[in-house]
Amino acid sequence: MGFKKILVANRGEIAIRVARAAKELGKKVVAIYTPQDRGGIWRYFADEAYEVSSYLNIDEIIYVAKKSKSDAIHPGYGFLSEKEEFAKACEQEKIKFIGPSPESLMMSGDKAIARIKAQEAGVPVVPGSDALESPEEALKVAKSIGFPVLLKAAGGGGGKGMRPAFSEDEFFHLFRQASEEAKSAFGDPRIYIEKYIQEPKHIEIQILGDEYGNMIYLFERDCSLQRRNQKVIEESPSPLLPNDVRLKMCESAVKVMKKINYFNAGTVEFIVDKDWNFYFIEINARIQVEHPVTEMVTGVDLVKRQIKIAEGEKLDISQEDVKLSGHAMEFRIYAEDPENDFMPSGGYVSFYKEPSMPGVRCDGWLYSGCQVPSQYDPLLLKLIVKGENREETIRRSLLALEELKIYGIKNNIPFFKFVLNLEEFRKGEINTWSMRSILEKYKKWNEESQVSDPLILLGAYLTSTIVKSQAELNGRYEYISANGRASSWKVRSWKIAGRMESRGQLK
Amino acid sequence: MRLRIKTKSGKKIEGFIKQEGENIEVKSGDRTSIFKVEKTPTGEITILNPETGEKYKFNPIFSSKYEITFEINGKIYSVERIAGISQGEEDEDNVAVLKSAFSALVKKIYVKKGDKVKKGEPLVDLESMKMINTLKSPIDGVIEEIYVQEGKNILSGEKIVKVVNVNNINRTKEE
Repeated sequence: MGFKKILVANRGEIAIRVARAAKELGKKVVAIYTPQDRGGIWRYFADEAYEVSSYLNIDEIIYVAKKSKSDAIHPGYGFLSEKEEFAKACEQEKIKFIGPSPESLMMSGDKAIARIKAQEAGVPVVPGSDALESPEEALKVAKSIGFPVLLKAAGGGGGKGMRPAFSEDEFFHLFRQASEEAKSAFGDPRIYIEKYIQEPKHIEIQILGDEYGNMIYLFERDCSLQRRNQKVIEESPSPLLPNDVRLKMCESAVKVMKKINYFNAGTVEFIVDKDWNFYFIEINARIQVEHPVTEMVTGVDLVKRQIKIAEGEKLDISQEDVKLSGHAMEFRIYAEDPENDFMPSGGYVSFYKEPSMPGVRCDGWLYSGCQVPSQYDPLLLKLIVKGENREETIRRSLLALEELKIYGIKNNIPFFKFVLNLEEFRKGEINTWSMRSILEKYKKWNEESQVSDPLILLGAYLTSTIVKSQAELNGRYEYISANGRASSWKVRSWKIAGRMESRGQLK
Repeated sequence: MRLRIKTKSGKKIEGFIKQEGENIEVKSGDRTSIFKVEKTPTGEITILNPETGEKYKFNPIFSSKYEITFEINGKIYSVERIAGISQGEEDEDNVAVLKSAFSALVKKIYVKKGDKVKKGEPLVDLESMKMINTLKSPIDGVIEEIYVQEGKNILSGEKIVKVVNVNNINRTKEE
């Protein structure tokens, strides 16, 4: 069963990525966009584009899919990509959901079920207890798990009622504190205990499975550099990871995924301690933001594979065919201000230029004169760089980051250049706790040895003349979205749930 | 062109800038420096100091009515524009004018003009890129002015609320 037309239920760079893969396979593509995204360039990568009120509105998206006669929907990442309800709605309307089954989504989406399934598959999870109330009982559990342990509120998350305990001496005191905090925050004093893994690495395994039970792994991505649980740089292979551990992790990932009858593309996330013990954390039942890293080192086009698997094709690559070659890194270029606690910063892009050299790929959606709306995720583009080895990749990345120009909105490019020059990064000694000290160093470095006053004045002068003012760009933006305005009038006059707009008006 | 700016550390810099061809003259205080600027169509910009022979890699990043951000040799400089005419310096311990650090939607305003607020009390919620940031009062004081309205979009650097120290006012009245 080959698809004729695929609706991409997403925005930004992933909407373009999926459209490209679909077109390469000879499919027609349908895009959606919201009123805030009328200037969104992914509209023009599709054969048809329709306005919807939100990327989360299942009814509207299904309506657009039916009206446009799409036979499949690719959900991208975020938004509806892991919603069991959406996959079910597609199934009911006989539209193929490009992703796993609703049952797999249910199991991977429930952390407790996923943990049980991993244990059943014989894959290690972070050792932990059930919810506990008595401190004496808790101490017994803590001793059996082994210090240090992490006390966590059973009633809720967000760091409330969370305490690391390093020894028996301080245990009762900390337990009482955590319990009181949990009670006042969630009305539930119960605490559960988990092994406290210090300075862990975050390593995930990419898998691909067809609908007939065949499954392969495509090795790992190391996503240890994170800020507020958001990945910043991802790379493959993971530096320093011993090969026997790598293979064990890959095999474990396949076991977990088979346990929940997973098919299509998916990822199993692990945390890894200093002694290379790894523990299952969760399943990402979607194509991930950082998938290009794997594509660069394995040569497998994951999005195209997703579509073919959904069409019912058997996986025609075997595990032996998948070979790691070279080293790849991905930099998530965000619209945020590294000088101001990484606050988001939307606005108008007055100048944009992508780098181009061997092994460099840009998955983005910017153009000179476009607007970055402040309603959505601040991801602007992903710069993916591949070299023969890690050192070459780092040098090439520095060049690419220098060539990449985004004027008009604040962004984190300068921060990446700083990180790539850090000794600990060059050595590959990064874990999920590294960001704090890196940020401190960055702040200090930025403050030290400032240039002279006249040079600062000159910099301010040049910037204000080069970066076009918002008023000037406004005119340009209006011009680009003129069609969008025409269609918005049409939408309002119809007032129907689907808010259809035909390609005719877009031209 | 006359330019007055304030750096992150609070230092105020004022100067005159004159452009003649590729030479740019910057006069600040009693110091005059001449720079050369080389610009390629691909966006590469180099600043040259012909006197010392020093070269700087330059990237413009952001410019609005209120602030300017740029990069020199990899370091970020974020400066505030000061209006052309001096409006008298404000006492920074007793008066706080809160400005937005990013373009955002004014989601909620918790206070109204004349309200007494404590240090740390939430004043305004700003929403940007799926994140809600709450602006809190940096001092104990009274809301003297609210420059924005709920539901309106504001630009980076735009004034939001002015808070004036209450103790100071009381003291002045008592005296």
